[in-house]
Amino acid sequence: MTGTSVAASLAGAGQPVSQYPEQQTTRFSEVEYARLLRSVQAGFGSGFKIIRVIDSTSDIRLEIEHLQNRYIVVSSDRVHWDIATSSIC
Amino acid sequence: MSSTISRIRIHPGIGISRVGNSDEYYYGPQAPGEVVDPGGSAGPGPGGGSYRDDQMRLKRQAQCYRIYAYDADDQLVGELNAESAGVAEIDWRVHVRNMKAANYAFQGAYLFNPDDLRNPTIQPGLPPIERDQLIIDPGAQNIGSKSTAPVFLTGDCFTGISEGELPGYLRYRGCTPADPSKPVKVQYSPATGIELGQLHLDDKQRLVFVPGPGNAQCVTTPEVELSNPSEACDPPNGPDPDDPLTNQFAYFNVPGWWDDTCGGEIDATVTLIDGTVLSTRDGVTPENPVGTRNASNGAWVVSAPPKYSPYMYHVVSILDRVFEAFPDADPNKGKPTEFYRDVYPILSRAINYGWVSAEAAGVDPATRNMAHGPKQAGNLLSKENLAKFTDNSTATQAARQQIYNLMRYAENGTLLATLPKDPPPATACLPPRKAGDGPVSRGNKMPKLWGTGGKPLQNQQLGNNLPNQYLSLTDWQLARMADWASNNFVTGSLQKPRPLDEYPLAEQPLAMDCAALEPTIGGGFHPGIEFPYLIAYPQKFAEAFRVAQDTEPGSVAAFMSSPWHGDYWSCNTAWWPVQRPDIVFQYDEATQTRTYKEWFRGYDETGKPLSSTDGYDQMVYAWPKLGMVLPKILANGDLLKDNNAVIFDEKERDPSLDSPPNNIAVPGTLPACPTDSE
Repeated sequence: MTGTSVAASLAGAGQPVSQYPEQQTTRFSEVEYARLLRSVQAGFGSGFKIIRVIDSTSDIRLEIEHLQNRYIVVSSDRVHWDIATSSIC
Repeated sequence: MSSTISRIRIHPGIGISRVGNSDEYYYGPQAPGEVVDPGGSAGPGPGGGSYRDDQMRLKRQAQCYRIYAYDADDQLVGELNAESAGVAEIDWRVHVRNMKAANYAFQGAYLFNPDDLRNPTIQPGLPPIERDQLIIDPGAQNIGSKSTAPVFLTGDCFTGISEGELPGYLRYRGCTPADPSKPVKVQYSPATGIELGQLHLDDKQRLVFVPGPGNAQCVTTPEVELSNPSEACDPPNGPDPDDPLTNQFAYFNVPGWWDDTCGGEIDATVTLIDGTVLSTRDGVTPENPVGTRNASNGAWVVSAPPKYSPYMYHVVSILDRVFEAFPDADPNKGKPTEFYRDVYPILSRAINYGWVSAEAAGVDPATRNMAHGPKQAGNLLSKENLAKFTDNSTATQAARQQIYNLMRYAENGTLLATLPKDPPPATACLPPRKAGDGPVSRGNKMPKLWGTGGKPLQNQQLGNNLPNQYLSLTDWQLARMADWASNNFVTGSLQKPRPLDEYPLAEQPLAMDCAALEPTIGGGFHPGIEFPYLIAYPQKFAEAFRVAQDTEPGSVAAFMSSPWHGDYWSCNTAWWPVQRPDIVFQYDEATQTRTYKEWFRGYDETGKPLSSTDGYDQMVYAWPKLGMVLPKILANGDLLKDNNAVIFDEKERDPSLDSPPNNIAVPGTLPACPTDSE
């Protein structure tokens, strides 16, 4: 895990957050997305939300948010997550 | 020897133990500032020990008691233990109880109405002490020279009760009330053999009180789940605002539940070789070994929930409350204010919140760049700040005055001044409502923690305007800070904690008294976690560090949440994050950056994520698995720091929380709960 500050690169990602982002409907079924959200919330806390899925080809990579702080997190098993980058320092 | 001894006393006068689900235990601190290693190896403890056993179960924190002898002038003669010359026999007597299920219902700040009991249909109309079916009482038990084997303190409750009705607004395990307005019919099963603690002796026959395993259970079928029904039905205060089983405070008063925390009295009798009998109790003779309690000599024990940040202290502890109520007990009374002794602890405690509280850490937008994290403006321990804070010249006064001006004073001067006049439950205690628009402006002061008057949003919802909705330092803490802000102080030096045996004998009793209470919560009491707000009343003490004479075992702890888990979960913001963290960090030494997660996270036993909005019931499962917040200890024994502030990481979290359980049952539609019409 690293805590590299990527505040600048994440700054542009500050789109309005919805509980179920529209773009996810094209990539995940509602059940799959709910499972993903459940995993993120178990891994980080239930106050965390998914902002977007960055990559889901092999390891899945998400941008998540809590109190306006953002992480890019990655998982190979969709259960255990590592923080790749963080907007806090 | 016997000719010089006038009386014996037990120290600490009030001891604190903390439950754990392991069979293993370690001693709590016995000297101020001490963090005791929990034993074992390859762990993060100060001596390399681990807070968990080899099955990842949380170890219990025990309290060790010692007997000290005093002469006719109340000067210390020495410790009496099995190795003391002239001591023939030591006998310890312990009586603890859990009276939570029998007590008055918690109804918010300052409110205990003698007409509103927990489990109100069981032995109704009786005072709590007479509701024996609801009291877990092992009776007085002894351990000592004649019988050194550990003693298990066990008792029963909910005995002799067959069935009853409970509100349909509650949640039930395995069924759903078809009509919440109708009561649910429940069957009661007695809870037997509940362990409230164990008595052990060390190698010198000092008493070691080991608390219970932290069990809690509902005895009804169907079982009641811990919840806050007012959130789902007629928020904010439920279908009947006057019913403490369903209103906003329902999760403090859950019917059918017991937990295994307790409180009670500790006594000792020492027989000398010449036949002299010395006892902490009055009237003890060989023919009458029981006697009566003498509150000045005997001690008290509390078993409480775990403290997950053993290196951190709350900014107002029960020790601070003791010195507030008994200023003459403060060994530093009358001495010049000394920065490192009197002010630095307040500042360093504030800084430490920045590792367990989102608001204090500055990860909350409301406090970003203004809080106490290592890179935040409020890092009071930075070298630049410390240079100003340790200098008593007028050149740096503005910096110190700025900090002091941020401090909040208790309304009416002290917390005590705003509490009901007489401690409950002598009469119904009405909340001391006051005129005005509320305490919003007071929220801009420090500490930014809720007070005994409850949090402002809650009071707003309830239409209350109670005093002291925010925590304030005690009057003597503020007096020290005022001296500091006025250049009226000496700097002193930072002292490393010393173990008890390095203290001069004459200082050991007070060191033990202080050490036990230093890591506790001295406000806000809502209702409290080691002690309720009753601890603020001087009349609840016989003297400093001694619980009042006519206090029944279990009767003080009874005022706190029943069971404790719902309160422990719900106090997740700005209450007492050094006991139960709100958030936890991982620190990257290479980049000197940190990331955080919520402390209460993972999967419950059904595969649901632990919830930050409704975790009352999940805490019963999760508490022994949650992580500790601990510093990184360097090879030389120092603690890793960033910008002069100690770094704290989450450690020793049970990894079983991080994966969903196998074979999760798919929830189906629950059947209706039984009602009287069936």
